[in-house]
Amino acid sequence: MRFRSLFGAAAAAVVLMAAPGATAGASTLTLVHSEQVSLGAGTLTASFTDWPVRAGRSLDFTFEPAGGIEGRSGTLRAITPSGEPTALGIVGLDGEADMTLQRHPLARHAWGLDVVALPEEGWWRFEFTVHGPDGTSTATLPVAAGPKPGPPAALSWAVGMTPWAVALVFLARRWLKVRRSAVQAWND
Amino acid sequence: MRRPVLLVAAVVVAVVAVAALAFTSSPDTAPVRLGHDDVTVLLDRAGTGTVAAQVEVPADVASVSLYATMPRMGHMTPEVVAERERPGLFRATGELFAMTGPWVLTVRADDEIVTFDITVGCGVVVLPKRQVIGSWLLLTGFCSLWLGVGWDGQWHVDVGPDTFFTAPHLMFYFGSALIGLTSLAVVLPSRGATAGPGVPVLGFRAPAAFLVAGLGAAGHLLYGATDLWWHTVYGFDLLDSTPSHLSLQLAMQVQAVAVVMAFAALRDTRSGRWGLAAAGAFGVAAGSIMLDGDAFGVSLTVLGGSAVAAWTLCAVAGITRSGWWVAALGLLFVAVHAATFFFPPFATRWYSESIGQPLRDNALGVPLLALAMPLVFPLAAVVGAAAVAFARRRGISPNVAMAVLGAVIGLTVVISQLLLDEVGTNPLLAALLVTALGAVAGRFGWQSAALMRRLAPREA
Repeated sequence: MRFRSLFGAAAAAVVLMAAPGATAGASTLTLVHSEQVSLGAGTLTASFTDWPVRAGRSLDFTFEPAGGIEGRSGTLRAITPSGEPTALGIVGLDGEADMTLQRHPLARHAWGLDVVALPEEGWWRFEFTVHGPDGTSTATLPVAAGPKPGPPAALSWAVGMTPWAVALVFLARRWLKVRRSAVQAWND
Repeated sequence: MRRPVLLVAAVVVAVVAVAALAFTSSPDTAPVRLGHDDVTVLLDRAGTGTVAAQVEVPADVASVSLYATMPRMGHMTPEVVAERERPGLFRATGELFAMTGPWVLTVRADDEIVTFDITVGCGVVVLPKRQVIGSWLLLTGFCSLWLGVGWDGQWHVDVGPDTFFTAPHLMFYFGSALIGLTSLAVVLPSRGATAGPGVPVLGFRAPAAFLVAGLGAAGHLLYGATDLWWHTVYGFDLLDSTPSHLSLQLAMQVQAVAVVMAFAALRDTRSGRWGLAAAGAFGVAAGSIMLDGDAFGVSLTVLGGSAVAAWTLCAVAGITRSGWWVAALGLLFVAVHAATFFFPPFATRWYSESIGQPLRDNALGVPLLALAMPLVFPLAAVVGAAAVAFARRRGISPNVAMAVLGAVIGLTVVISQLLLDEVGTNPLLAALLVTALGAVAGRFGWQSAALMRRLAPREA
């Protein structure tokens, strides 16, 4: 009994300490690198929360034209190293290759992509089309995605799935033993 | 200040409930109901000493008597003649069981003889009360887990930024923790003969449902930790199929199956059967997001979801042996679907306002998790209910009936998903595979049910 009440008290303490944290604000954005490319007569500043960019590792991007995003709208088309346009992250959830530029949730003065990974290693091309008071202008931002971090995917999957495979073999053996004893009729 | 107070209050209530459960370790005496087609016996308890029995038979039966045999020991108790109270109802009092252990109770109604297997304890019914309370706590935990997952997904799509300690994360980890703690509180006191049916593990007699629930919850928390490591290496990309994400989804399905098992053990009571239908409804819901991606142009999401739907429906049919409860499963699925439709978008808007993090520019406000659930399932449940009644009346073998029913469920789901363009690039292969897997899952559901029926005390 004592063990159980101690256990309950400990569990309660953990959850109670966690509760106020749950209502704390969301994470903040730390940009560690910026690049500038020309956009019509002006510039477009692209900033990154992780640099250098690695394939398969997610990061946040912000994009800000000189003069700000106020009164401007546009699209972003991301071209993979193998030349295919691809939709990225939650902004690209609808599958449209021309992603409508949205304000970044944590940097609402700029457009952005949050928690997006570039799945392929090599040179990506971000093609921007921006409509503003000075007409439509375009910009191209090359982004190099380095090698994927972490262990090879096959190894991760093999290790991650091993417990399930063991459980499956164990259950299958038990099942073959007991299933014959199960009565297979409407009334048993 | 209101939010933390509410949250803390909810947590305190849940912890008190688990603690109360942990202290409810004394087994209680409860009536036992045994039923065949037209003969029902209600014993005041399955114990030694004098037992009162109430026997319900067709109204034209003139005489009823009872006796019990213990085949293992060669015991047989003298026949007790029941008194007719009114047409169709007889009562008897007597010593039916001379010792504890497995007995066969025989009821003679005129010339008809009906037998029941029963396990007799020391004047104690074999299912301890903590398992009853525990089952409802598992269901509560799973509800919190499922709606928390829906809220979290909605938050990412409609708002975005988060830390580990967000309210949606807390809600679903709380659900999983409640399932884990409940399992511990039920398994730890389960020792000795009065523990009821159980799996021997490390000196405990762990009730199977709570063993599975505990392992599922432990797997959930363990893979949650692995997921955290994964995110430090690969960042927090949420849309990727990763070993840890897939494992979290599988662990959730294991917990759903455990809740179904827990209520299979309570199938003798009406409330237990409602709990079973609710557990099944949550299981079908969770199955709709169990797998991600495509293989050979076939959506694995649809393949996995329809297999779980077929398994669950046929398992409920097999546990309850009643079309009515299959229909109840469909009814409660509608309720779970409605909750999944309304709660996540509502909670997301509320949380977004209360922490001052505005919605995304392209926030859809569409309940994404509810859209993944098979809208057609209640229809499948109605078809299933009719099929069970038909097969019983015509004496069609359950194995055949359930395989056909499973195939029909698979086909129904695949056709409805085809209309939404969700089955993958090879619809013909998808229809074929989903239907075939549905048939296998339906038959497997029935067979699983035949085993799950033994979790109830009288067939221990």
